[in-house]
Amino acid sequence: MHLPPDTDNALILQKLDSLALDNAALRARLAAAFVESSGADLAALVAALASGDQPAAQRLSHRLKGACATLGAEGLAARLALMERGLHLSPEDVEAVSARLRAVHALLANDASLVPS
Amino acid sequence: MNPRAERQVLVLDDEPFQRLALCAALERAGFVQIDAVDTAEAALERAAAAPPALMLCDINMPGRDGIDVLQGLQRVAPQTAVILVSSLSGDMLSAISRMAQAQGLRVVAALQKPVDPTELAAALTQAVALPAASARPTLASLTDEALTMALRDRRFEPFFEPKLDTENGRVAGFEVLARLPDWEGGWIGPGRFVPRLEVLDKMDDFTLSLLDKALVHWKGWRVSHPHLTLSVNVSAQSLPRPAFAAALISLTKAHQVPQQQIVFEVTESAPLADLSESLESLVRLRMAGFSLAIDDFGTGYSSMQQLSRAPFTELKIDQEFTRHLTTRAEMRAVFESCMVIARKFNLRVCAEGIETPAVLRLSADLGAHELQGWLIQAAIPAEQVPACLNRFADGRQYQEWYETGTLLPH
Repeated sequence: MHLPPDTDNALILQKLDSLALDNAALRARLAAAFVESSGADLAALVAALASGDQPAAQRLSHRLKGACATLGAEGLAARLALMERGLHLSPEDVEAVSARLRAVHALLANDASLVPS
Repeated sequence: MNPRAERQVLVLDDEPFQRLALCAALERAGFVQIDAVDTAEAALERAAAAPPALMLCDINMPGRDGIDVLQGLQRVAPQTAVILVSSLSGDMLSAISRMAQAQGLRVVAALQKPVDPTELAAALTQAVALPAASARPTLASLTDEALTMALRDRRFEPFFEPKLDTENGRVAGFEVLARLPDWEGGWIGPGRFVPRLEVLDKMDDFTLSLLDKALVHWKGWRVSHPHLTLSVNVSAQSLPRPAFAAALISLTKAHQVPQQQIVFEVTESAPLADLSESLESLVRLRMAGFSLAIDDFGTGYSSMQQLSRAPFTELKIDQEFTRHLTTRAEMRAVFESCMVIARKFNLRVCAEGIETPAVLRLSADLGAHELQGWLIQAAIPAEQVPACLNRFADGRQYQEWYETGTLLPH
């Protein structure tokens, strides 16, 4: 199956711009909200899989997918869409998603650091 | 003043980032009074306290989900314009939208995430263009006098909700559900008038009038679909009166329709006040050839006593149990118990509340004979029934749902 690139940094920053328009404070709040909630959801997803609770893992994948799609992280959203359907839930798949999400978090952290507080 | 600035907007999304993104989009579009919440409970509490002009509603959430919210909204703030926002698949989102509209809610758009700004802008324009909420009849404006006049003028219309046969995926029959036209070309659902008609003791006339209209349509469809059944709800309040059963029999005789294909559904949400008198009516109806279904099974009064004494032929498993069949073990246990009881009493089983392919598949695998719910089709006016029959004629849509039902989570 063809998946979009996992992290399209330019697209993510462009999407963030379009969500916040010229409001720098809102841009920073959006970035912080994404980092915080997607980080918590990913941790919960890993815990759900560790405890064998696949329905919870699929629900969390759905939630993460929506957030990633809204941010323009299309590759991640596509991977999470598969996980939402109960596919690609192996530890390797989850680690791949974790690594890519960390990369998005790093991108946002670096970008947000440029925003005056 | 900008009309958007005057409108109260409620945003429900359990995911903080997306909630914030929606609020930002609303602010950009000129809305000022924006309230954002992350649970169904909070949303309904706010809507009940101060009905918003517009609500952006996510669907898939843990705990009580968006469907619960829509049902609650229909009760507490039916005048609120609704924009559904979800990353569910397009057909699921459409099914939920149709369901909400059939319940009388003003759904102006169903948008898939990530929300396209152009689509959102169009939906917001449409929502703002709706007449002010107060112009629409509310529960308070449905006075006893207005209801009595609506009954006298035969203004209640039958809508038809299909039931699919799990053997072949085709439409087995339709359940008749009442709608009352409002003043803007929309429809008011039964939750807003049936309880009052019961208080007014008007259920006999209401049921007979609705059945009379439904039979006219049904006779037409039977020409090409002779197997179709017709299910009609009968109030527990009407059953103790022998004259009511006699009137049902006379009416169907006058229409010259096969009584074996008519199912009277008796809800157990109200107690069968005097079982012995109700029993007389139920036995008479069975003897006349009608089928009898016990509706909303498992939720009401003395289910087992009623089942063991009354001559029911069909059991309808309440949507409360079916909806969470694939995600909650206790609901599956209740569902399976209902199937055991049905087999003991030799009853056909219809599972209500089919909202996802996964629930459709599991209900069929557990032995339900018929399925109904918003995934399949919400109640529709008579003129849309032929298209509905065509849609399910070859059983492929059902098969497609059944096959995808292994993969999709709730």
